[in-house]
Amino acid sequence: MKMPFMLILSSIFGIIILGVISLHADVVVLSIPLVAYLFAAILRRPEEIKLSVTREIYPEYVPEGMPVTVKVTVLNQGASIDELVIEDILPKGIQQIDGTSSRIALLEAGSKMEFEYTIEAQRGDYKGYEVLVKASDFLQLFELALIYRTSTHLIVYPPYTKLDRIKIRPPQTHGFAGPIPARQGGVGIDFWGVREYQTGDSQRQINWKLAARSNQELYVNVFEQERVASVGLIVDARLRTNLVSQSGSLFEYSVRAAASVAENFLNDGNRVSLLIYGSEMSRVFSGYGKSQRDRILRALANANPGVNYALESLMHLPTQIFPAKSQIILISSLLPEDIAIILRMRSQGYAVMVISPDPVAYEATTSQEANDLAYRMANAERSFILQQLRENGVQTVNWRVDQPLELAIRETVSHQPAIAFNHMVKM
Amino acid sequence: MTTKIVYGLIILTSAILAVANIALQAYLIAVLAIISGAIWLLLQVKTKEAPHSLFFVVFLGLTLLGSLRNLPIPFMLLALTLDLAAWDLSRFQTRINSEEQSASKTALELKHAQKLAITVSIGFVIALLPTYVHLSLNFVVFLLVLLLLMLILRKSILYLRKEVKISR
Repeated sequence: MKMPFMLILSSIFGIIILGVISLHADVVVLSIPLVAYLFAAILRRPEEIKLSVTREIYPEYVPEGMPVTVKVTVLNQGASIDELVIEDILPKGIQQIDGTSSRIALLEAGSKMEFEYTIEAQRGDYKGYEVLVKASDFLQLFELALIYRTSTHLIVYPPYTKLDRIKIRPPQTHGFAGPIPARQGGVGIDFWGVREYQTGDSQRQINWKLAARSNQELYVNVFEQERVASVGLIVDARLRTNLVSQSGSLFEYSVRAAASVAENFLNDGNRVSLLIYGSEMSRVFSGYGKSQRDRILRALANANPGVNYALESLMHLPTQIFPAKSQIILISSLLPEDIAIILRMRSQGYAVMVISPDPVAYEATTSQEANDLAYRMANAERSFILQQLRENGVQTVNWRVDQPLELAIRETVSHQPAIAFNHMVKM
Repeated sequence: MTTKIVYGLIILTSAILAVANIALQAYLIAVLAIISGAIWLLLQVKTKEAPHSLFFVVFLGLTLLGSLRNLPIPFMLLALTLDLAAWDLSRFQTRINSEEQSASKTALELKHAQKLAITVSIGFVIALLPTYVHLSLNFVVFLLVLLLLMLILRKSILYLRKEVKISR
């Protein structure tokens, strides 16, 4: 029962009782306007709501932080409603930035009502929306509430930055021309070696200095072929590697880094696949081009850190899903026990790069206790982990998330050239 | 539009009750009516979310007090009707406060004002009838008439609702 209804009803009874007790007919008469008021409310009381609620969202596929327009249309397929309140319930992670997400109006039978507002959403895949509809008589003594569900799809993918070309050197490449050194002589830019002149070779390729030193033999320069490669991205979504602070979650940085790296390698024509390893293993099969970028971004939009006791360790990482001798890029804040697994990948023949958002620096930035002993010990432990990986031929990017990823990759990878395939692994 | 009507209704209610009580030399009640009206008006102007129901009850009490002190019943009825309208419109204003100014909002306000005016006018006119028509009834007959009236009221509501549905 609504409070105004109770107030009117109790007023009517109160007046009548007072009139009867005081034997004052004039007092009883005062209840008549209230009875008329109640009568009007009963007369106009809504019995059922027959509405058709549709929602349009444009654009439906956006990067995080971009404004999205939501348009809600309500069509009345039933009787006229004196007062209709429509409240669009925003899912968690969506913030309204402009316009209004609720309306109140008189809706005649067959008429429609539209309203628009602008939202900003956090990364995610938003599928279900709820619209709260409250119909009432014009005096608002009786109300009928319903929740309508619409299934418009909004995908908010992580924002990514353009990176300079990341130098990798996987043991195996594909047949198509690309930017990655293929460890095979042929047409390219970087000098690879020399071989004896064969009929048909261009004179421009002849190494005249070497020919001058030899005994009537000619040699030609051979360059290293550049091809495309398979790159497998692994995003560590284990809850125990994630850090959450007031300013956000470290996992968000991992997701953004994955998006940037995927974009970078796909732009160069490489085949890129993705594995999100956390509460479950979600995978995007190897592919290339814009459609593959969309597939990866959609998967990243859905990625969330979670707990799965079977996947607590990287031990169960299914590396066999990546092509043999391909490049693997692990994006993880790293735990000490992960070293052995990463080294096992190296020993299996993969070229491995680790992009590691620094949890120690992140924690220190947010907690403002960068000088205490615990911080120094954590930092030392992390440096030890990274050092071990570097010594075993793993390209390691230690990314302080308050700095651009571009800078971290440039600084780190330029000092750690891609390791040759036959590099020894210290196990 | 609604805002101005609410202000007017509060002032009128307060004025009617004050004047009627001054005429009866009940100055304390008159002052109470003026102060209550002033506070309601002030809160309405400042916050738009005044405790409407409280002021409605206060004015209802003052009206009942006036009736018990034999103030002219048409005045008391008018005061009660205006109080009821002011209460309803101030609630309505709270509901539409966040709504942006638009044609649909104006239409909603207009329709609401029209329907409310009709409702309270009918209530006022019906309530005036007993002041001019006096019947002497046996209590049992009165109860029977009351029962009959309630049945008629119920039937008429059902009939009218059905009519409205068909006309749609």
